[in-house]
Amino acid sequence: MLSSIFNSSIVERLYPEKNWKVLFFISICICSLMTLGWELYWRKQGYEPSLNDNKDLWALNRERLDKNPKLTTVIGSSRILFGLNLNEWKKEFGEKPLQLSTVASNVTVYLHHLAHDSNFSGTLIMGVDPYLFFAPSGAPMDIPTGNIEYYKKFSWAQRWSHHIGIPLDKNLAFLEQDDLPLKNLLERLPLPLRKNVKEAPPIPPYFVSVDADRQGLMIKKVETDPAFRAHMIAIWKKYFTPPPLPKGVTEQEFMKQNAEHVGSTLKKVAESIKKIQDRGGKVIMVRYPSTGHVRQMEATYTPRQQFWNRIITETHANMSVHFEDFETLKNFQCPEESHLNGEDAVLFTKELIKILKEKGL
Amino acid sequence: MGISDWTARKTLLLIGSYIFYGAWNPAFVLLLLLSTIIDWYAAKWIEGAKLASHKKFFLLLSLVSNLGLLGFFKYGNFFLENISWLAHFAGHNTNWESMSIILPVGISFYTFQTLSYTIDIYRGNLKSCRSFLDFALYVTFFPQLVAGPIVRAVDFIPQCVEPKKVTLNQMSWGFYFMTLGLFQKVVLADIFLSGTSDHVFGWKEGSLNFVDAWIGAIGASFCLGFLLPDNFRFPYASIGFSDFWRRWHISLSTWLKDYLYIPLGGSRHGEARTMANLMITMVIGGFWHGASWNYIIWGACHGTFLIGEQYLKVLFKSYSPGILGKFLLGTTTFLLATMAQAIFRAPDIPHAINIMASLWGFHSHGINILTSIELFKVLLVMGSLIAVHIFMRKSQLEFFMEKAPSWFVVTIWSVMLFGIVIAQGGSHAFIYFQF
Repeated sequence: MLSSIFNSSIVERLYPEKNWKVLFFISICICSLMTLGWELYWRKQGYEPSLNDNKDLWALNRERLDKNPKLTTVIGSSRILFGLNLNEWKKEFGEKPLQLSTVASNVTVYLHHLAHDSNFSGTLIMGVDPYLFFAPSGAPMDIPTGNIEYYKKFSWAQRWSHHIGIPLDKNLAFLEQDDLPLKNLLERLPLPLRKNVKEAPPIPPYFVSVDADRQGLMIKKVETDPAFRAHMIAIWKKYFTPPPLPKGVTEQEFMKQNAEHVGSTLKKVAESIKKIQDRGGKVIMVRYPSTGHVRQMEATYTPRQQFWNRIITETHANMSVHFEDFETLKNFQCPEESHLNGEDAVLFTKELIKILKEKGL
Repeated sequence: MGISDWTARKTLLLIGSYIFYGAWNPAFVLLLLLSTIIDWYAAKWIEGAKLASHKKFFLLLSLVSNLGLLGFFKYGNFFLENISWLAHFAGHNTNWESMSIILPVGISFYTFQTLSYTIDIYRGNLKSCRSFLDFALYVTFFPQLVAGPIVRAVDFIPQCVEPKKVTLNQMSWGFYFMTLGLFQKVVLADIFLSGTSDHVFGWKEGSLNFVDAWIGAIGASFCLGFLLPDNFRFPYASIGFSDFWRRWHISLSTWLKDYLYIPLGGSRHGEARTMANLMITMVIGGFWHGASWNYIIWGACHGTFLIGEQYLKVLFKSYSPGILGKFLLGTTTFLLATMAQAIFRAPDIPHAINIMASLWGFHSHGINILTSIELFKVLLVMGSLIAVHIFMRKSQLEFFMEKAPSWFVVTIWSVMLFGIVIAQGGSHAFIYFQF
């Protein structure tokens, strides 16, 4: 029989007569077994426990700059996130730099953010990928903008939630955030494509782990699994293929708009760099390696003369390093054509530091 | 050592509620406290006043201070923008910039709660609370503080008097409610529907709230020994809009009825006045949801639906719908409510117009934007949801659970728990937090 749970004269809630504590206990046990099975399944698929590189982790790291505004800071996208080894930097300079780069990001968003922080006066290392550098919208803008906005409103509740989540992230593989959230698994259901719908570009699978300092490290599967590697390369090819012209815009009009966008981007970047320099900071631009088809596509769509050289000439960074210009940097091989693996990241960083020191850092 | 003393337990609960609220933004705990103190004293003064004019003055004090705070924090920029627009329209150039105001979470809920307290005391329906602790707990009680329901003092404060003892069995039933609420929010709304909704409306602002996520609040309260009223009762099985508003956001609709519609005259002053009162109530109800013309139009739509229904009832006085009639009326209610919801959810009026135009086929050259997966997710969840609402239309969850076999309860409970575990929903905001 349903019974009233308490004797409140106004609100009355009924509760069904069942042995709820036993039902709850059994449900928890079944759920735990299902979770264990889920964890074992994903471990068997090659996933390992790792911290998630989310907005909380970015915001927590960004806060370090509030305490020490002279901290050497790294901004950019995935290439410098994986390719700059923080420990190697620490060996040489005594302190790990702050890693604020995020995957698929337009570095200029982070540059403007730090330029507007009147306290920041450290050395800024910018990873420059010409393709992303001029990306006007979409994920390259949304990801860094989202991180910055999140950091500005970072609440105590979010902070606590993150700290509670760390032990779970460190021990459970199924909490990986790129491939395994239910939402992302549903997205991969093999349903027929709907006619006349522009499907979103494929999202790269999990291929990097991070630690608390946000040191990115490419997972071994990229090197050991040829099919996985081929899949990654196929995704990069799609990413590096320019989109078709917008509807109703001629190629001439598009080129004109593009030239205006490039010009205004470079002007703003130069202004931000000057702001940092005026406060005593330094800005270093680094072009990380790519290989194979990706390199060819970059050379075709973002030729050095029109992109990298122009960026360096017009923005007046203190130093710049393009991997092609140095014997010690030009022969690195990227397993999936776009990023360095862990071992090469160490070697690359060592050589990069030597070059930067020769240049006066 | 456990806390045995009821007052100490309530104090702990109050402190916990303040910490809960402060975890979002500590400064706004002071605002919550200010609102609590104003209404605590206003209520005492109303009750103690011997002259009617004095009572009225203290009620006005409560109304002005509460609505003033709400108006400043929630509607300040809206009024500024619209006055600026009007001035520009009249040929005056104003350079007013939007103020940088952070909207305190749940301000609309606790403002309406405390207003109901002082108004009830003014009307003589309630005696002022004797314990500041009980009153502060009523305003701040964390399960319903940020997303409702709007609990009346008369429903909550008496529960603070007698110590509560919750058995493990009752607490487990509370956990069932919490699991159900979390599942609906984290899995159904965030995982299955929010992405599609964001895609259609072109912005990310909270998540869908078609489900009664208040169930989680009811469950948490259960576990602490407090009872909260139902806020939603299977609204997508409503037949007509009077029925809809008896099932949808019940605590708001009853608040508006008791403190706005009836004081305006309700249905006591003829047909025209009744219709006007309905429209005013629904427009203000819409505006309560947010400082945007979308919410006002959404309220006006519901006002129009209710007025239309009144006319139809007069026209077809003797009509009693059969199964087919109920099905058609129910379908019409669902479609109209959902279309109004599209205006509610759109980021601004041009987007709302655009979406309505697409719905009615005015964009003959428009492109399909939803993918097969997105359509599949929405059809699966909405189909299931409507079926459940129709099945449960005349029932209550408690009755259903009483009859359900234990193996069924365990299966559903385990699946819901597992769904929450693997969802990894992230930090999606709940749309009702902004109210």
